[in-house]
Amino acid sequence: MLTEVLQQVINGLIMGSTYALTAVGLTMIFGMMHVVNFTHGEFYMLGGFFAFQLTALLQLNYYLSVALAILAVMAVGFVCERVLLAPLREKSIDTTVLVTIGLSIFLQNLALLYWGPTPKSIPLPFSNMPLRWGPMVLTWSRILAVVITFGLIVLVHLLIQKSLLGKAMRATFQEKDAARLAGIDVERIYALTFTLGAGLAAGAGALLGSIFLIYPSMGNIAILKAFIVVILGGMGNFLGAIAGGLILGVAEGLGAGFVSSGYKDAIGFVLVILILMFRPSGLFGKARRL
Amino acid sequence: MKGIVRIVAIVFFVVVLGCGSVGAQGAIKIGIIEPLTGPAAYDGQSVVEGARMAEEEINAKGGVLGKPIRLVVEDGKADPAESVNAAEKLLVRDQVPVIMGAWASSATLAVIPVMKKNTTPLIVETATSLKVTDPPSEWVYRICSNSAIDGLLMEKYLVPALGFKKVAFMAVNNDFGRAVVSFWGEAVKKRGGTVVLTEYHAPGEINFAPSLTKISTSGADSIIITSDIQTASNIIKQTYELGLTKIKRMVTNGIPSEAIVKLAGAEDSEGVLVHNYWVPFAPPKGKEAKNKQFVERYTARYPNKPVDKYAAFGYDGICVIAQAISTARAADPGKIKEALKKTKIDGLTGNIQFDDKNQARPYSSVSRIEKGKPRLVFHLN
Repeated sequence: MLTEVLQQVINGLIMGSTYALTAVGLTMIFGMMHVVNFTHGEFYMLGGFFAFQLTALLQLNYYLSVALAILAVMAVGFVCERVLLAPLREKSIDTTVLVTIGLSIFLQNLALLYWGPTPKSIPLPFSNMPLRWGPMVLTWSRILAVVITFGLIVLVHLLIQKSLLGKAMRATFQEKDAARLAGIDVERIYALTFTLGAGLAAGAGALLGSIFLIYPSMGNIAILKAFIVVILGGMGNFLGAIAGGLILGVAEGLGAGFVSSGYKDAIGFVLVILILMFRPSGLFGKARRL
Repeated sequence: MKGIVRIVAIVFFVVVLGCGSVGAQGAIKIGIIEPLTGPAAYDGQSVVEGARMAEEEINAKGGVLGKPIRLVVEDGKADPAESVNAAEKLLVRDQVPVIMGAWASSATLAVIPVMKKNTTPLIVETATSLKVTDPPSEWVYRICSNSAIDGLLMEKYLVPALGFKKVAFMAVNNDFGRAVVSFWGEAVKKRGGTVVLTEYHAPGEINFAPSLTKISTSGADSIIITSDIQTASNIIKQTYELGLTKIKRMVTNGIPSEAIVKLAGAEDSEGVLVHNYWVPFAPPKGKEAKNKQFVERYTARYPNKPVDKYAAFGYDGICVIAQAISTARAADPGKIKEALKKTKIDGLTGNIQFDDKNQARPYSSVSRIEKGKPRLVFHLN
C-alpha cells in the first residue's frame, strides 16, 4: 500500500513537472501581455514534431535535437507574435483570444498536412528498460524529463529575477505605461515574452513526446491541463504555475490510483471549480482586475 | 455601385454552385463519415484509403449502372456531435443515397437516428458496440464484427487456452470500450476466471502510470487492452516501462500488430497477444490470392503505411454498397436498403452476408508479437 502510494506520487510528480513547464510559459504570456494564448498547445505539439524531425529523419543527436526544436519553435512564436499579435496590442482580450484560437487550428492542420495523422515516436539514445529501485520503477526518459524540465524552469526563473532583461519584464508586468516612461522598449519585451513562452511549451512537448507519442492533436490535452494549472496557481504567477503543475500531477496520480481512473481528468476540473468558488485568484495569486 | 457588385457576386455564386451540381450529376455519390482529424485520424484515413481503392477499381471496370461512383468524405472526428453534423451535410447538401461510417461506436450510435429519419441506409464498417445492431434497424448494416460475437468466440480460448484467469481491463471510456469489458468479461467469468480490475480512460489519454501501478499490485495475471492504435501502443509501452511484462497482455479489436511494434517498439511489445480481424500476414484458407493482390496494390499506393484492417473494411464497405446499388438498379435509398438484405460478397474481411439483424460475420484470429513480427496463434471460429 505504502509503496503504491509512493509510486503514484512519483508518477504524479513526473507528469506534474511537465504540466508545470507548459503552464509557466502560458502564465508568463498571460501575466505580461494579457493574451490568453490558445496556440500554446500547438507550440507544445511543434516542439515534439521538430524533435522527431531532427532525431528520426535527420539523425541528429537527441539532446541537440531537443535544444534545436525549442529554438525553432521560439522562431515560430516570434513570427506569430510580430505578425498577428503586435497589430492587436490595444485591442480587447476577446480579439486576441479569437486570433490565437484561429492560429491554433491553422497550425494543427498544417502539422496534419505535413506530418500526416500517423503518430510518431522519437528514438531515444538510451534503453527504456525499467529501472528498479526497491519496489519503485522508473525509466531514464522520465528521469531525464524531470531533470531537463526543472533545469529550464530554473533558467527562466534566473532570467526573470536576476538579469536586467528580467527586471524590464517584471516592470512591464507590474505597470506597462510606467515601464514605457522609464525607457523600457515594451514592444521588445512582449515579443521576447511570447517567444520564451513558446520555447517552454516546445520543451515540454519534446520531452513528453519522447516518453509518449507525437501526433498533430496532442496539444489539445496539453493546453487544457496548462489552463487548469494556471488557474490553480493564479493567473500570471510563475511560482504558482510550478506548484499548480505538481499539485495537479500528484492529485491525478492519487485520484486515478485510489478513486477511479475514469475520473482522472475530472479531478483537475473539480480542483478548478473549487478554486474559482473559494479562491478565484488562485492558490498563490493576488486579486487583480483585467 | 455597391449594389451592382453585390448582384454580380450573387450571380457568380449561383453559377459556381450550379457548376458543382452539374459536374456531379453524372456520378453516383456515396457518403463517408470518418475521423480525419483528432486522435483517431490515423485509422479513419486508412478506411478512406481502402474505400478510395475500391472506388478506383469499380470505376475502372465501368462503374455502377453505367455511371462512375464518387465518394464524398466528411470528417466526423470520431465524435458523436461532429458525426451527426457530417451525416446531415451528406444527406441534405450532397443528397447521397447511402453512407458508410462513422468509425467509432458512440459516433455511429449518434448517426443512426439521423439515417432513420432520412430513410437512408448506413453501412457500419468498424464500430463494434452491440447497440449498433441491437435492436436492429432496417437502415443499419454492419460488415465488421461486434463485441457480443467476439466475446462468444473468445470464450473457448481466453481462460482455457491462454490462461487469462485474473483479468484486468484497460478500456476506453465509451460505448466501444464498455461493450468489450462487458462481453469479454462474461467470457472470462463463464470459464471460471475473474475480472480483478477495470480501468477506464478518456479517449486521447496519454499517461497510464496510475492505472498500471494499480494493476501491478492487484494480482492480475493478464491485461486486456481496448482503445485506438496510439493509445493502445502507449499503454503497451508503459506496461514495459513500469516492469509489467510478466503479466500477459492482449490488445482487442484488430489493432494492427505492425503499428503496435512501430509505435511501442519491438522490445516493449514482445509477447503481446493481438485479437485480429483482417490481417495481411494470416489470410484464411482460400483468400490468399485476393489478400496478396490487395496488399500489393495498397503498398504501391501508400508506400509508408502498413496495410491494416481499417483499409480492408473500407474497401469491402464500398464493394458491398456498389453491389447493392447495382442489384437495386437505382441509386435510391429505399431500393438500396432492399438490395443490401440480399447482398452477398466474397470480401477481404470475410464472406459478407447480413443475418436477420443485418450483421455480417467477418474473420477473426489471435496472433502474438515475437521479435517485432506478428505470428498467427489460431484462427477463431
